[in-house]
Amino acid sequence: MNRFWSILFCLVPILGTATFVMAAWGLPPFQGAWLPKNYSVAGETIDHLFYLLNWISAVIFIGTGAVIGWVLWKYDHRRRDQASYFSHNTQLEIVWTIIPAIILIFIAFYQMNSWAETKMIRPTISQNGQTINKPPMVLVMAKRFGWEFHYAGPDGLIETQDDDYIENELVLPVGTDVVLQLETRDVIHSFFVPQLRVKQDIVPGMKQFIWFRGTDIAEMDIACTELCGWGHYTMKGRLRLVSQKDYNLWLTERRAMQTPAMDPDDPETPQVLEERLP
Amino acid sequence: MVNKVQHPELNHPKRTGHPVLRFLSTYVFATDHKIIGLQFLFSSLFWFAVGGMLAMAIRWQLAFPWSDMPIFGPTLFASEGGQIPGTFYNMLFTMHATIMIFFVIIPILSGAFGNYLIPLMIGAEDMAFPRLNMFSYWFMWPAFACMILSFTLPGFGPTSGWTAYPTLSLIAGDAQNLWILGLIFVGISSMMGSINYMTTILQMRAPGMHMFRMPMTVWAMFITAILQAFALPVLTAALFMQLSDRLLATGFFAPESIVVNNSITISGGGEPLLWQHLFWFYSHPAVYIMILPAMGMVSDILSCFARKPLFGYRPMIYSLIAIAGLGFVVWGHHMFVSGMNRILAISFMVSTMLIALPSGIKVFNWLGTLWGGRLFLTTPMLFSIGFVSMFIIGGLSGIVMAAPPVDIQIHDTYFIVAHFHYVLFGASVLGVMGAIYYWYPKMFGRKMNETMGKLHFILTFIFLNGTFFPMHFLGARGFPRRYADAYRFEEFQDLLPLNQFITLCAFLMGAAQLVFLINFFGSLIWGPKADRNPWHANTLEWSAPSPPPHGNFDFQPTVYRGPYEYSHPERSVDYWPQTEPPP
Amino acid sequence: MEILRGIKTGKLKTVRHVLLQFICLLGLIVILIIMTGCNPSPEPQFRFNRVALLKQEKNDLAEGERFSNAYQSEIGDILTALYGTPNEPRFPFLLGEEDPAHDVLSLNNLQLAAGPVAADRLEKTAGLYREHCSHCHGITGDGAGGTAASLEPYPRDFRLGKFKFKSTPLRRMPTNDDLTRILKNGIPGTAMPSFRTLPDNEIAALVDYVKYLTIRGQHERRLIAELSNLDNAPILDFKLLADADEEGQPIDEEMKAENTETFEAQLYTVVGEYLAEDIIPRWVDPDDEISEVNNAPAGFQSKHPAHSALLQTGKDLFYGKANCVQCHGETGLGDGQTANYDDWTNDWLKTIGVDVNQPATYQDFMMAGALHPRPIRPRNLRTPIFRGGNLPSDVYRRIANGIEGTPMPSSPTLTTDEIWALVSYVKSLPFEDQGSPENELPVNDRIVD
Repeated sequence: MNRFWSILFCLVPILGTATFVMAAWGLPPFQGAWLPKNYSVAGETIDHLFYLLNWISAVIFIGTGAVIGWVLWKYDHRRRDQASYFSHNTQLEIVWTIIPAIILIFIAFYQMNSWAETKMIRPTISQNGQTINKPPMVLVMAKRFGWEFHYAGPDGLIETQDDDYIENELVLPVGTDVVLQLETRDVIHSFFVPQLRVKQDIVPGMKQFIWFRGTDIAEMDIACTELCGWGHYTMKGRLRLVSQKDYNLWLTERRAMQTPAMDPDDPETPQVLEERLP
Repeated sequence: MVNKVQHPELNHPKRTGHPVLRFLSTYVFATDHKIIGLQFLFSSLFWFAVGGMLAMAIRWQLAFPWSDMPIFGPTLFASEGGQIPGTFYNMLFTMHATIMIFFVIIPILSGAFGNYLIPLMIGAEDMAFPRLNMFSYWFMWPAFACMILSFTLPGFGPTSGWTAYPTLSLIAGDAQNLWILGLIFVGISSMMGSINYMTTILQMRAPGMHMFRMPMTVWAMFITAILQAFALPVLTAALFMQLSDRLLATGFFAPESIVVNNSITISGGGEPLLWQHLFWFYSHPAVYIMILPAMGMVSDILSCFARKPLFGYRPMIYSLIAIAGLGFVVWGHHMFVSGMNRILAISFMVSTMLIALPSGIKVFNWLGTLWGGRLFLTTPMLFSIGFVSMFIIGGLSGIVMAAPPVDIQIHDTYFIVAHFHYVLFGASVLGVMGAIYYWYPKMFGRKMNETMGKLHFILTFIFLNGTFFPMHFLGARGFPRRYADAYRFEEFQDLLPLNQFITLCAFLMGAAQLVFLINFFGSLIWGPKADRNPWHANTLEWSAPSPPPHGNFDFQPTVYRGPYEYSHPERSVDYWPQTEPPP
Repeated sequence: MEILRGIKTGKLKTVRHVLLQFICLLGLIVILIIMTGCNPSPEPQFRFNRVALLKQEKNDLAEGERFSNAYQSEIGDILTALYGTPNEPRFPFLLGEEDPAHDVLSLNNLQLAAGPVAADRLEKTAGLYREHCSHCHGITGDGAGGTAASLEPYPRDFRLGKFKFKSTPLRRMPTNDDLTRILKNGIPGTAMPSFRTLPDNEIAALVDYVKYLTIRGQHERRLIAELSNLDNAPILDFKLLADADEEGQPIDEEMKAENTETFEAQLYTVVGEYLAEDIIPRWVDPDDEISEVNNAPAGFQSKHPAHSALLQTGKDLFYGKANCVQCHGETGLGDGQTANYDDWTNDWLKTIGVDVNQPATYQDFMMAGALHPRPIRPRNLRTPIFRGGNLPSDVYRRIANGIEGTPMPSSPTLTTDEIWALVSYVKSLPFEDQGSPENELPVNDRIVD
């Protein structure tokens, strides 16, 4: 019977690691149950860290699991008359303190840069010869239960009269650093785009900035990941990463809508690009 | 009625002064630590069933979203065709977490086993403050009442999650007030318990019971009591602040000018993050409050059934102390993406990495204990090995999450859910189950059925992994927790089958607990009688009668050695009780 | 050993006894739960408009007319026959090819929107309304879903057939595009979210379902209003169609023809006159009624030299001819005239004998399902939130056409240029720096109440 339990406990790391590998390789029935495809530059580092930590875990997982299995297999009371009598081993204790400590310190230092890049060092631009933080392109205003996206108007600044406003749809260009300013109207929300590896809680009374650089054209979901009330699960937004050219075109269209039809005889009337909405 | 029977042990020469007790004072307003322990045990098991039902309801919604939910659908939402509203789902997970943490795991570990075992294991006749002990149980009842009442309020209970983050919790319905009150009562109860445990352990040890002769269980309970004593006041203060925010508009946790729904204006001047800091300053140590006692009990069980001394007794104690100490400086890892100072995240990451060390040392020492032993795979032993095995998974996923960049992706997703269920269910609950099987003969004088016990173990073990392991994948994918219906996102639509598999496993795991229920209650009546020391264990409680009478020991216990002298080469039997005088 | 025996005969027997009782009790509870819990829930039903009935009753009785609420169940039956249930919607006049209702909505769309939410979301076939809308608007579309009471403003009650934000003038129905736009953009500043992420066919289905609920509600109100003071005779007397009378005697041909004619007249009143001739035509082709947005003056552009003059004109109008200050206040904070109620509240609040200051007088309306009356708030123009849309044409229409169901009037006396000047001023108000008054200070309702 001990053998049976030994196998059972051995199955934990074996199946555990196997399913992880299957999920990571997208083998059925776990296809798709893994990190979603990454579309941001910083996400590559995060994915790399995730893989690294999982590999380290897998080694420890299999190692300890194997010991449990071996112990159950070997030291059955029916096959032994007497247990060994020992109660400590200082050298062993030191070894299994030092080695994990080294691994943990390595992990700790290894990831610091990634954290700094994603959350601490904001992209800059140079303006009038000075390097300043890149101003946010879009003000993301979270509310129960939806996302308002306030685009900076022609003046390039958010929170001014020429802002454009659209709900639940965010269109952004790829290949440039995008800075978003996050605010909330009521309770805590969290801005989460799984495919960009971006997540930031939005706390009432605080401004948060996030930034990322999209790598490819794609369409993805925006989810709220901080409980915000009965409709928490309904806070779905759509993020479209488009080429810079398409982005400019889209922006022009949106701005054209902000301009009403004017008297065509007036020489000052600007050209309206698109037909306005009803 | 039966209580009029003269208990012979009460007239024992050493135990005079204990009057014959009437029913009420024996079983209800008991001051005997064992009865109080059993009271905690039974109420925790009852709430375990309630919390489990809530979990089933959650899983139902995740597998068959919005379909007619059994029991709740027809009774509460018949006019909606059985479709539950979103707030009801929020209530489900809020109450599931609250009940499981505050009414099940904490009370069953420190309330039930702490109470039952501490005096027995250190050779005391009762707790230092028996009446305080009684109050610590009866202060749970106002908390129970608050929670049950809150189910009847609009919204069917508190809906802001067990973390109750403002400002959501400030605008939540009245049930939130009851929730806060309930937790304050739980806090008072735990506080009384922890004072009692510390005093008892420090002051009431039997002759010869040095601190370093105490079993790991007692050590763990001692450290837990210290953790509770230092962390709880912070939570209690925070809860009072939230209550006054809600009732008196003090605005501790609300910033200026927040208007919700154009109608509810929250008075400001405060800071929502303050609550998170205060809350996690308690709730992270609370995580250790929920695991350390189980670690202690598992250490005892492993050593007993490996018939071998516990490997590294002192390092085990030092690592307990290290976990408890570091436990106070890691709370920020719950808040990496909360908007907290982003540089601060680095220091919390470092302390979190550090706390993995003592946890690792404990695991290695358990393995060292098993190595070279003579294993008896009884039910408690299986649960304990299961504990170690599951704790490894929970610990490793903890390291993955402790890395802030990785946490960006998996924070508030099912990866977290998988992690803490591995630690709290996989480890703590398996540890508790092992402890119930192990000490059951002592508590009730009868043994539980081994076959049913093993059946219970294997079913629980398989389905627990089937339930919680796939959640890692959901989390990596970004599947957010606390979503009543994530399938309206294109991103997560294809995860429905995996969720249905998880739900299936969860239901089977729930059903497996019926085996335990039958075994537990059946053995009270039909179980074979147990003698004083059915497991041939060393610790003091096994030299008392089963079940121990009022006053515990029928002799004055004196301790001659440490608790783990198994298979001593110079002895003919493989155990050496702590009370046995040296030859 | 003696000691052990003592314990077992003493304490433990009691424990066991108590536990046995405990187990029995647990079993009972489980059986009870299984009995109540395992029957599936009944199909949901549309809720009867009891508020309208109560209003009719009070008004009729106050005016000395006869009133009978015996018609409640009959009206319910008629509506079920015509419109089906929330799970199986039906619509009259959709059967024949020539029927007018085809211009209003399609049955396929109704079926996509009705019914319980589909559990498997990969292939959506039904349940859209209950997935997205019924939490707030209620299954009946009465604006009294589970969350309604906590929202400000209350979710729309469709049954009055009034919609605020539309491109048609007052008292006209909104166009499909208007409803689609509301669904896609949401209503900023309210709890109405945007459903932009839904595919177009699902939005179209929801638009049709909203119209379906509206028409059903309008018809229901009409039936209540017209029929409640008849004699106790049935509205539709199916006995008229019988071949034999009550005693089993066959009815002669002449009598039968007469009966049939009476029945058809009844049927005509209920379905033809109220629905086909009155309600449905108003929903057909509202696009013809879309009001024009005239060209804006060039000064509307912010960089145009005439812009500041236009702003000044707008400001003068705001405080003068257009009299916006009366409600929106001197400061534009929406703190002027604030004692008004919107039409959805006034609908029952204007009942004879009801006084908003005396809650006892309308307690029965609350019981019947009305939401607690709250005065309508004029828009705070100092925040850059425009509920009906922030495009200049949207703001133009709000000023020119007014807002249905609210005290906001249409402005026939203003010229195009004057309206544009107002639009321009209103759009600049939130960003006006100097001398702009402080934002409304937060007040804690919990204490103020």
